[in-house]
Amino acid sequence: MKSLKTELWKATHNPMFYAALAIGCLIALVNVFENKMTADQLRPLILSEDHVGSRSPWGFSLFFLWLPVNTVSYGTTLYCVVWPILAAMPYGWSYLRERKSGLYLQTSVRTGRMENFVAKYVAVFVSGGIAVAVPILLNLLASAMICPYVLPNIMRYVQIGDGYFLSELYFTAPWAYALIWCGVVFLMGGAAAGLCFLVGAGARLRVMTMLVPFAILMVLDGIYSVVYERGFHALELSPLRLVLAVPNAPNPEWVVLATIVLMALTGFAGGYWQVVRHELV
Amino acid sequence: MNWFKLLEHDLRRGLLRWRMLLVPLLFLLPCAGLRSLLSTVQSGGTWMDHMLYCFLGEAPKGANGELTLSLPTFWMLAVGGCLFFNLDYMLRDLTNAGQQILIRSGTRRGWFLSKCVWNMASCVEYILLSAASVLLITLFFGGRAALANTPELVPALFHNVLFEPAAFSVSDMLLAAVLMPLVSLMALSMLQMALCLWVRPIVSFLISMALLVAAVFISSPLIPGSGAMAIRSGALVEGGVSPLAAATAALLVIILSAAAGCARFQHTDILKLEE
Repeated sequence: MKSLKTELWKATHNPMFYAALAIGCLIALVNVFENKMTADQLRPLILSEDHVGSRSPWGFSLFFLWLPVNTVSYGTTLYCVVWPILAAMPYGWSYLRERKSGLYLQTSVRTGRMENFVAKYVAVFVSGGIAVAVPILLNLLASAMICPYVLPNIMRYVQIGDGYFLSELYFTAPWAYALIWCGVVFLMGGAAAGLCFLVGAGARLRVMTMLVPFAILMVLDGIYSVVYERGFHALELSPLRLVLAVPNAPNPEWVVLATIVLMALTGFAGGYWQVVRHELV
Repeated sequence: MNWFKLLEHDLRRGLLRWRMLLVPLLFLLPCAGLRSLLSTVQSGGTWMDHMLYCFLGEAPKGANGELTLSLPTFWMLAVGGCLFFNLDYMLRDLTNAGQQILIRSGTRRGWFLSKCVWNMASCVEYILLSAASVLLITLFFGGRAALANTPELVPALFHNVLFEPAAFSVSDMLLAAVLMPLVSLMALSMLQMALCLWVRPIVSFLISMALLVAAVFISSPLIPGSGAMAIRSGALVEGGVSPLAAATAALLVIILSAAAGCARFQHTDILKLEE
């Protein structure tokens, strides 16, 4: 328990964690600027609307422009590509560094191999989740300052429909949907960060360890693209794109949750084998 | 120490790497993706069709008015793969035997310039390996080892950009699918290596990715990745990015990166340059 506390503190109090958060927020800010330009262009239309309360016949809404939904934005596309790197940046490298410096062996002797690994995994998971989810949440709040909150109109400019993650909630209680999605992104980030353990202490430089989740998810995206090109459009199966609420194919709840569980299990099991069973024996 | 000895060391250590065996696997994905398009025109395709598809990229954003996510995965894999493979060599060397070599050679400038030459040679190696891999994959899938393209495939390949079957000239296709990707890769890779002297390598890689995504959104020769997209090449598409302008911009990036990196490396504390 004490080692978990220590690991969590180390994971959230290091320059790489702050750097990942800053870069994530910078990308989110790019999306906010794009939203501002869109909102300015559409302001006459919005003001001329004859709408009552939160229902809008025209349907322009904050929830069309929020980062995970606004798929035509540069910020969104960039975020979709680099989020596995942002997830791994805060603490994905820590095992490699501590293993090379000998610190990991010291703590393993004192707390036990398994407990030490679990503490490290949880710290990597939490820090990765925070680094990915916080920019999304801040983007929502910043976009809310410049875009009107109206209930999204199902007829307008959004791909979410039947078969998408909590689509009913999106059109009825979008704030609840947005907060739930932030939670989902947290889990996605955490699970992806855990994939760093797959290489154990095998890489020489920590940058390569940090790029392991990115490389895996890009290759998986490539494999999914092959399937997509062959006409399979029924489900979004690329973990890289599942960080968006509106991927190109439906993302039902079970696909999103199964992807998170699979990624987390792969990271944990691979890490357990590498760290506990293989490298420390 | 003779500079060519430094270069020889870099070429020997930096080009013969196990990770380069991953290149065929990387290019297997786009080639597999092309199969569905080839089946629609009932052709096995040629080597050039496959190369075009690997470095096709994506039509400029807004050209088709779709609201879906535009992420040219195959192109990102093909271009990003090279940047990924080249990212750590300089720092690996610097934290390994590089410090000893620097002391013995007595020239930091020579050491960095040797890395620059290695970097470009590595891009050439990557493109040659990718071309050879694509050739093998094409033959494996029953295609032809030809430099001509399949005209009927063009409307499907250049979706929303070209609508009629077209037989391009071989030189134009080599320019768009081999030479321009090579030049763009050299520029991006050199920029990435030089940036590693200012920021952490992971940030340098993030900047490379940001440039690649920017190339998806902006069709300009000033964005190095734009030139690497066959679908936007002025050699194949009317109003596309001029290969000459893109190559000039890439050359400028290469020279500036080498010069700035060289100047920076003179004053870099290599003992504290942890990766």
